[in-house]
Amino acid sequence: MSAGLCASCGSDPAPGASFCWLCGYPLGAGAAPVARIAQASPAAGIGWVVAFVVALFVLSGVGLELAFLWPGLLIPYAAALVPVLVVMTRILYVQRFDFWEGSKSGPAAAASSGAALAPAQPASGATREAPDGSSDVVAKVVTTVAVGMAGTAIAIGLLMLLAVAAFVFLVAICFAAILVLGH
Amino acid sequence: MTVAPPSAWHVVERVWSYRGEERANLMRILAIACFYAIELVNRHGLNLGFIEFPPVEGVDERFHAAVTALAVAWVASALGVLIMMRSRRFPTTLKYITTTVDVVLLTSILLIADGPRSPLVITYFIILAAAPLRFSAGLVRYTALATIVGYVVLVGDAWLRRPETRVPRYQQLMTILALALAGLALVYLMKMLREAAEAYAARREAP
Repeated sequence: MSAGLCASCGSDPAPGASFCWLCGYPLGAGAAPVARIAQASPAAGIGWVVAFVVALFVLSGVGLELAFLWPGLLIPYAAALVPVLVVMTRILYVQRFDFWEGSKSGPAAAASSGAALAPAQPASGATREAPDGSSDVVAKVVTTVAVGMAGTAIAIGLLMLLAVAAFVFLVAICFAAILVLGH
Repeated sequence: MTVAPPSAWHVVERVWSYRGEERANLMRILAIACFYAIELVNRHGLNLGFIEFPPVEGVDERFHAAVTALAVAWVASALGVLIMMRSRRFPTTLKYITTTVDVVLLTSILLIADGPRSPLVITYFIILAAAPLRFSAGLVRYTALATIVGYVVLVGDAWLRRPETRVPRYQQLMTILALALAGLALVYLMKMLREAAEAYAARREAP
């Protein structure tokens, strides 16, 4: 039914939907088109990514508080946080939470990735379409967890590299100062 | 069968409402981060060498735990909104729900803090100022009413339960009046915005 973007607002409709989730425009044939406003509406930008990162920052700060003040609450807090992290990793990965949706592929998804308000997932093979058309939830969850763990490992590795580089830099400055002052 | 498309204004309102809700959500999370950072400084103190913030006496462990729990609840609600919007779920009532959550959580924090005496009372004006971002005059009216109710709850709590947090009657009236007038100005702004958009569209279509 929904082969591409909504002809009215430019958003990316859900697979199999009859009406646009955003403006209510009928997605089937026979609907009279109205002026599109997607051209005037750039993609959502990185505002939601910033929101996610800042929210993670706050939740991490609360986790640190718990570790120092009420350590007994740290484990249930972390357990409650893990599903949120999985969901948010999925949203960062394919730009939307789509565990329960059938996957889209083809030119419609590719075309929507740049212009829609909620861009479609990239055709990267990250999701698989089940034979009955329903989404493969397990595969999506596993992929998301793997991506999240890989991202975390990369971030930790980069931080460690930065720390080592800073340490080497400081040592070099100390040696240089000793050499200069020694003379 | 031909289905009647929604009106052009409805489409514009929905799209800009979506974008405004995203921005309001970003502002909400940034504000929580900033205010919680201030709370951490108040609780633990901060000494940077050239400037020092000593711990505030009134911020005990019980108060800090309550504020932390409310901050987590607020961030969780903001993340919930983010997940909903990224799941293509954007009901018309979402903006009313998020505004109600904002007012209720802020009032809860003020109820455990200094009530109407707290400087955080100005946050009601921030919530009111974020309402027009959702492109809805009805939401602005609702937000003005909700913030006034929230402030009246604080005043009532101070009157009945905590006399030490009372403020003078003229200050109560001025705050309520300021919220009402700010809401009225924002409603006029929304109406003028729509009229300006329609006038602009008419002029563009005119030969």
